[in-house]
Amino acid sequence: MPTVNTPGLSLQRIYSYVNRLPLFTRLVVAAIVLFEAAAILLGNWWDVRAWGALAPDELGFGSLYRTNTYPLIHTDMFHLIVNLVSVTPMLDMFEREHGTLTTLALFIGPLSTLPALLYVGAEKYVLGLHSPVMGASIWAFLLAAIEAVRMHRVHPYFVIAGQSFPVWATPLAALVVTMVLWPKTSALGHLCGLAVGYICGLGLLKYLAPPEKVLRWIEGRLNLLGRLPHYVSVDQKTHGRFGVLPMSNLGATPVLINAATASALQLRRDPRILKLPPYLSLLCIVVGVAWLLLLPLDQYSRRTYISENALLPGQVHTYFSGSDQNVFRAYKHEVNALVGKSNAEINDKLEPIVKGLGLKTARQNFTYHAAGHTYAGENLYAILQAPRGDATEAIVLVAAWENVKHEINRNGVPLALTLLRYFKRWSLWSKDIILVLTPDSIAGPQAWVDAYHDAHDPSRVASLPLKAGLLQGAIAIDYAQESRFDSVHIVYDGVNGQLPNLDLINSVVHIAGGQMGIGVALQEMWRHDNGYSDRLRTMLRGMLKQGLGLPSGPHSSFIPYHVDAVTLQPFGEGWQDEMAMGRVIEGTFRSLNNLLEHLHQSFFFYLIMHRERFVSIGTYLPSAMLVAANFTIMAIALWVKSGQAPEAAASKSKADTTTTPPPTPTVERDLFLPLGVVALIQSLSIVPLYLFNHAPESILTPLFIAFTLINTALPSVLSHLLTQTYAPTAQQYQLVKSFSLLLLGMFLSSLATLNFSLALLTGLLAAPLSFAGPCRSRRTTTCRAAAAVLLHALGPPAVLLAAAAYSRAGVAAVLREAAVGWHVCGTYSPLVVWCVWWPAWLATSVVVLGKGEDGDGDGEGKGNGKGNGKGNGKGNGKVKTT
Amino acid sequence: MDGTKVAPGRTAGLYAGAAVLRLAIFTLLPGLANLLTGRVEVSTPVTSFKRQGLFLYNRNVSPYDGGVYHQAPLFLPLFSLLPSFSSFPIFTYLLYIVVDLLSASALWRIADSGEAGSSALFTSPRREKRWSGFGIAALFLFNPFTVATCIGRSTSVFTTCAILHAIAKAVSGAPFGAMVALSFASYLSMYPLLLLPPLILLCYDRQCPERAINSGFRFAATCVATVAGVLAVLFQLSYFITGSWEFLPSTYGVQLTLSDLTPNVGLWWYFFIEMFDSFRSFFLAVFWLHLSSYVGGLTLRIRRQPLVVLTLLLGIFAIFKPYPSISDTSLFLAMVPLYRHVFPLMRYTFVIAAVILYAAFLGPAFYHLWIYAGSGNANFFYAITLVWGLGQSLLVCDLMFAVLRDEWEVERPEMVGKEIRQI
Amino acid sequence: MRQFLSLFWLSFLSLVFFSPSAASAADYHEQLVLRPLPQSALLASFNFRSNTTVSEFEKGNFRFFPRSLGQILQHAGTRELHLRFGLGRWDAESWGARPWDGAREGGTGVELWAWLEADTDEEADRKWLTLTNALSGLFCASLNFIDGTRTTRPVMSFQPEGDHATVSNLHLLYGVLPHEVVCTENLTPFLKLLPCKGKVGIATLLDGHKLFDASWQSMAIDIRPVCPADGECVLQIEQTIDMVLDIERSKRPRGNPIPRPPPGHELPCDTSKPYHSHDTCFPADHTANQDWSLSQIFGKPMKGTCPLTDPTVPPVCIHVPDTRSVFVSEGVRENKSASGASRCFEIPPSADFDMVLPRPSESDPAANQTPDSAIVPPETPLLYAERSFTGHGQERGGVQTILRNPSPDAAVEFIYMESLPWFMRIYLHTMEARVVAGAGGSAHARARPDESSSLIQQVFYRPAVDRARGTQLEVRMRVPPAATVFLTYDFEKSILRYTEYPPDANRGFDVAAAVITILDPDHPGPRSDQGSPAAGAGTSSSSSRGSGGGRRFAAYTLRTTTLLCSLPTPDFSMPYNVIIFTSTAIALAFGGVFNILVRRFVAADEGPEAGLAVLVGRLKGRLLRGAGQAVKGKS
Repeated sequence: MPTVNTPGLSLQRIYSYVNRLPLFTRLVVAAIVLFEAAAILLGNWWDVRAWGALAPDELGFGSLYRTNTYPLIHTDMFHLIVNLVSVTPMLDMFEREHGTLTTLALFIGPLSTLPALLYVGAEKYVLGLHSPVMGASIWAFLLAAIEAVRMHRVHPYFVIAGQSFPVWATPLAALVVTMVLWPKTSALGHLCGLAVGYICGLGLLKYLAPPEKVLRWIEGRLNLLGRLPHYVSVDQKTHGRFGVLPMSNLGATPVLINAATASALQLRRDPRILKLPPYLSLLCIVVGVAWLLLLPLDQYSRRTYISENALLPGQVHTYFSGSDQNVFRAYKHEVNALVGKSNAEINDKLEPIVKGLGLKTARQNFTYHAAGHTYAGENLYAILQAPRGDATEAIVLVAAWENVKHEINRNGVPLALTLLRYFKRWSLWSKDIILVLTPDSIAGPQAWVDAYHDAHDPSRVASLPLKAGLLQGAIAIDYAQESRFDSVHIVYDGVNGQLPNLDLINSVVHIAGGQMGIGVALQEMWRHDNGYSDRLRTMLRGMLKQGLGLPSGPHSSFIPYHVDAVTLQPFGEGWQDEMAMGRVIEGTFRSLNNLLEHLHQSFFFYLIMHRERFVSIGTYLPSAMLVAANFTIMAIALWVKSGQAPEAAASKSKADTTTTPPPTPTVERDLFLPLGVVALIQSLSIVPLYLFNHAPESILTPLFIAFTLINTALPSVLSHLLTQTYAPTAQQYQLVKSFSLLLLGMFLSSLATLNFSLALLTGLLAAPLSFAGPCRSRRTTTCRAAAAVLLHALGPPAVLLAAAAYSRAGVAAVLREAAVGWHVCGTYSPLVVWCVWWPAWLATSVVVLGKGEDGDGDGEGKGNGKGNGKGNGKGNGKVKTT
Repeated sequence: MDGTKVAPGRTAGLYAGAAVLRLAIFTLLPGLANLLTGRVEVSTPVTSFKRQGLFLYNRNVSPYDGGVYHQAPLFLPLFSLLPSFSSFPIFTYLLYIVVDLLSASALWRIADSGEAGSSALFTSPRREKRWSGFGIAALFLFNPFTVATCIGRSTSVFTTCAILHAIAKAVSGAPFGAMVALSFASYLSMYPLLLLPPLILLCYDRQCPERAINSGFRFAATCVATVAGVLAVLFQLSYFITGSWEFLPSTYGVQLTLSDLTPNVGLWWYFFIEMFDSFRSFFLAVFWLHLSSYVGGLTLRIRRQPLVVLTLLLGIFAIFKPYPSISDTSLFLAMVPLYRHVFPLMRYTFVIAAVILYAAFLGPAFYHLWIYAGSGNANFFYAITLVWGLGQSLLVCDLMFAVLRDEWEVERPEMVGKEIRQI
Repeated sequence: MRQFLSLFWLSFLSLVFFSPSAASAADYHEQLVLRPLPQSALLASFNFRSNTTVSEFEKGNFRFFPRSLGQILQHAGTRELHLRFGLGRWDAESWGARPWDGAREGGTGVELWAWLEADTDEEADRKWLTLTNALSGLFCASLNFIDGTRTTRPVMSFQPEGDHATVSNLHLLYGVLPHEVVCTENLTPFLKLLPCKGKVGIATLLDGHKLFDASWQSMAIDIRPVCPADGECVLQIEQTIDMVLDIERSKRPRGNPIPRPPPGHELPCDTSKPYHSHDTCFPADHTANQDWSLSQIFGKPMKGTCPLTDPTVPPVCIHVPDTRSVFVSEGVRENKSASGASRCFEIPPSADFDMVLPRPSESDPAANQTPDSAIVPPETPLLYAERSFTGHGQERGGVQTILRNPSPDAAVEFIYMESLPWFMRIYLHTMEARVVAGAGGSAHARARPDESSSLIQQVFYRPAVDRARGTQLEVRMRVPPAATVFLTYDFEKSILRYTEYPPDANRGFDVAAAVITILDPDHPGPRSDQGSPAAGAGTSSSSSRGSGGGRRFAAYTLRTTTLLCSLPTPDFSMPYNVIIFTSTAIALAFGGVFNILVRRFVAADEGPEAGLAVLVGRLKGRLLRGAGQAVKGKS
């Protein structure tokens, strides 16, 4: 069956599905949701979970109700979602088959009580434990077991890699997977569910079901059918085969790769499962986002801790105070006198001062061209050689003349000078200390670091005449505000979303917050009540910055070279003076000075949501991977489907006989046209990348407008050309989309390891692409128009515009920033937008507007909307005609 | 379409296109060439194009006294005959391009011989459905892995060329040429010696009727003798060149003992980094045994299609060699399209493609995280090499399954398109 | 004070009539030479030398020669030995030329080279092993870690300083431990070797706290046979300690070493600034050279002189212009040298000696000149060298050495020696030298092969062998006058077995300093005499050249700083997982292949009949049939 509703999973279809849920299923779902709501709302007065959970010890005659309530109660939102998602379809099927009354009787009675008793028995008297369980997953496994037994009767084996596995064992596999994924779930409980399910599936529990004529009698007397909506009568119930359920639904969603391959294998068996992938991938996206929203909760985030023992933050007494303040004032006078002077004059003034401290100084010129502007300047830097050390390691102190907001660093520069003078007196430095004074916060540090590692282009950036050893860390001072301050703001995002080692941030937090009693803020969260919303906001801001990948301060350029760096930024009105700031830096330097090894212990991938809470990669990566995986699933589904048309016919012919359809699709896919189209579109993507990165700022806006116009026309033009020249078939359109989605998924999942946030953002923005499909033959034009509008609303240009509007910067400014990042710091966000997202978008638009013989999509869609056999018939009828 | 009659224009066009593409990359993006030369995926210690050895050789220092040069001695005069790379790199480029084109032409001959579809002892019912030599040569020449290998100037292209020529000779019924080519390949990088048994069978099946040797044993003996002789000559030659036998330990010894643990796409390096010293030699033996264990089994079981055995073995080598690189994979992928006719019988084509592509993209990313960004550790890259190996082994298994089923359906024609299982 | 000065002058006049007699061979003498340096630094070089005739030595009759060391030498067949402990870096830009022309110093860590008498290389290696182990025990240094990978056999860089006319089969071995941290436990055995054991004499000033708080310090032991033209050969041991003290830091009382900010009123301010006020103070320029006294610097005065020392050699000399006044304690006679830049003191045997160098007063003619004229201006060295890594990442990198020749007219010819660990695989073909006229590295100078060939005259390269031998590279170069030469080469970092990493693997591996030996132009110019800080005393000046005679090999030796090379590290917690995962992957492939190979196909509905025998039989049958058909096909 070709284009069934695999493409174009619309809300209306979900709605209709929900609408068709039978009565008891609805009741169960409602009850579950209500209980959860109660648990959340009345949490303080009435602990639902304690009340309803199946706790072996508290199970007496008075509390037998627990054996019925426990499936309706869940530990948390996530648990709830997963269970609902897995139980509802199966319960739906079960009820459709057996009728509401039977289902009611069974599920209120034995099917929840038996597993409960079994569990209690095993837990309490065999294992001697007493951990309470709850959740509908037990039903899920029970139903799965029943279903698996039935499936086993139909065709006993399915084959993976030459091995043939018995179908009845699949729930066991699911059980294992669940155990692995959530160790905290009660495997024993699930096992009980399975056991009962198997027994029931083998028909040993028939006698538990109420006899039919009783049911008929009840129905007759009460006229339930008339009174109750969505009631499934004893007569209505369908006698056909149970709908097949994907194993992945039991194995609960996040096992997508397994799910994908498993379904790919199953697809050979049962074309009906073709309905599944869109839901599956929608599920991926939903779960991915839900996952992200769960992270700030205490169960999912962790407290920060220092894992590098050598750091010993805040263990030393700091002496930076007293008469050094007089010196600081003097230096500040000097610096104030220089405000407004040119870069060269400033350096001419500052160099003798630094020399006067007994340091070796040197200068470096640099010139960058980006977006028609020239970013040139001269860095001044000085090396304080470690008194007894050898030139093997160094720590860097950066004080840019201007910060990113182009405010003069009035206090930072004198503070840095005073600190260096103070450090010179100590003999305990084991590493050289390098003071870098840069004219600006982006280009200057970048040029210096590049030259330090000889990764610079000699024609634009001069190489350094003076060098020390390996850079072990860098601290940048951004102290532009005049008045005294209240707290310190730690800026830690590097170029392309790379982050410094978490230990560095932790030690600064320790020293400032713990030792000095200075507040610490992250991500411009000036005040932070350690609550859910603030955590979430901090995390999202961090992700946004990470995703944009632009430098956020002088420290950003260091991080790509594996030099851990942060910028310290005093803010707020308080009573802390410059000396306090100096002591924070002194403490940090002493900690870095203690380091024996390069910082490597702690995390490099994390999301910080509070100064003492973070999430490490293991916890958050799945959400991006899920989003990326949804594309892959759709790609696989489309691929399989594109090879399947005649097989459906075969299966139809053998519909009643239980012989399985032939495993190998006999239809040949012709790959060359789709491959060509995808390759062409991918290569097209060079054009916008080059244009927007090399156009001068003045013409950026007109260029963007022009591009948007062309971009609007491009899909229809391309699809028109395609139709005119090659007249591609529906299958080829599917293949085009499959390949582009595959590429997208691949790019995103590899990007997720480099820059998680960027991958997630792109994935979410591109999510609609996996659902947009060829339109139905009826009301084609309107549908096409609608789809086109929708796609354009979510296309790169529109999103860029929105971003510009949101940041109130104007498109030109946004594009200029991107270009500067691209040329100076090597930010690759533009590459991702133009060479990953845009091609996928274009390909999908072409497919959507494509005029292939995709008429059968409609019939399929409707056909599959309701019952299955008919859908096949209709679909195959059309397939034959094509 | 039948590949035998392809317009010469297209042939020339294909070769010209491939050559121009490579030349363009060489000349326009020299940075890319050097980058690829440094990539661990492209160049391994035993194949990397580093001029160190040549430099020492030209200064009459023995390149083998030291741990930097692990390649066959005959490369040294070859490269020193070329004009110096620093001044005229173009000649080196041309050499590599020519080698690639030669491999392509050999592949073309193999394809046109139709050996894949119908060997001496077996004729596939599906053999009509095949790609022409043109298509297969094009697939080889424009395979990004092949291009990357050529641009990276890895010396494994010579081995590839030798192997392909050996097979081509064998298919066209020239056992002697095949043996000579094979011994060249084995001289350059050792492992092709394992291809000897199936190659002998192939020659045996395809030897032209007149002057054919009927007794299999005599034939085999002659072939083995030929290989041994040629190898002996080559070794003598390299002895005369380097003036001592110390090239043996530092070329083949390194492959046998894996003393150089530079990361690559294979499974060996991390295993032997983390291996306990007392067990290292034992596991070396086990790994080599494992690598050679496939030869016998495949040769016996798929006796009727020796070319299949060769293909599968190439695939297995690309996974389990001590120092594999993507050039081995490109060689395997060049042979696979010969079996166009059994593609429909393969079961996981898409999964395989997806896995290999994923690995190809994630590998460099993880390597960057480990080596340059410093934010990931070695396990990242190791995991990807595992995936890469698994993907390829899945491809090998699937191809083998398809071929065997193809054979089986000749015995049981009624089973075409039926559900089957193995017992 | 005035009387004191007059007495001072008297004593000096009386000293003029003395003339130092030539030192006899078999004796002991010690000398401390102080030399104030710019930026309030003070170079103090201690030198102890004692001889014993070779014949006595053979008899095992050591006089001043330390017995412990002597026995080791005899046991290990060592003819000449040089041992160096180094810490810190010599700041050539501000401190000028190195003491002893760099002949008595080593790079950071421990350096050892010796000429062993052996017939074969193997025997030499065996003796070397003995020597290193014995010395490591003697000096509490981990010299026993100098194994094959850290030992090289330099061919150009070193020449024996002693006279080895008699013995022919000498082997030079050179080993270096850059990571060794030199500390007091090395000083104590060093002092134990002295005849006076640091109880009396200048050795009493050697205190671990001061020594290892110095900005740069180097301890050296040189043992060599010296055969004067007349008289029999003597075995000479020379122990040298050079240190550069930061006067400001050393004057801090031991009680509170913490440099708290001084009270505001004590802060030296530049009052000329307009904004100067009680709470705003622009610090006055870094005080060039302050007043100091011996007891301040070294924490205690010097206790008399060693009775065994040769009385003709003045124990303490200081290099300051004659215009500056130096106050010494009672009974000490000062005699100024003719050069007018140094003066020495003769100290009564049993009297504490202290010396005060006051700040040049207003009346002092030195005051109205620049503050640096209050000290003897340090002479510029023959060559400045600075070595650093290029590139980043843990895969490959480069080494760049910037060699600057300050002299406007004379070219410098030298030998640049690197001994690198085996896991740094250098690519010799990438080595190039490019010259940049004038100072300061400009990246625009492009490499010209002809030029680099003219710069590099001779290369000795011994490639590394994994886990067996390090790379040895010796380059003979010449730098044209007033030119800067960039010597660069690339290398690749190899990844080690996880057992071969040190506990702090992520710190990186230290790479030993490069040794630069500047060859002596044929006629030693007059300038070469002032190189030694002991220029005041004739005897030590000649002996400081080593081997007394005019036959000198190196005009000047300098060492670059060590480098820290970070290698890629595996995950050290992984062995079991890796073994398991890899084996699983292999098992999957193997199982998959052979599973398909050995099992045969049946339709899904056909019943199984299995059994290994059947399979083997089938395989055999299949093969035979195949061969049979083949034969049929051919015939």
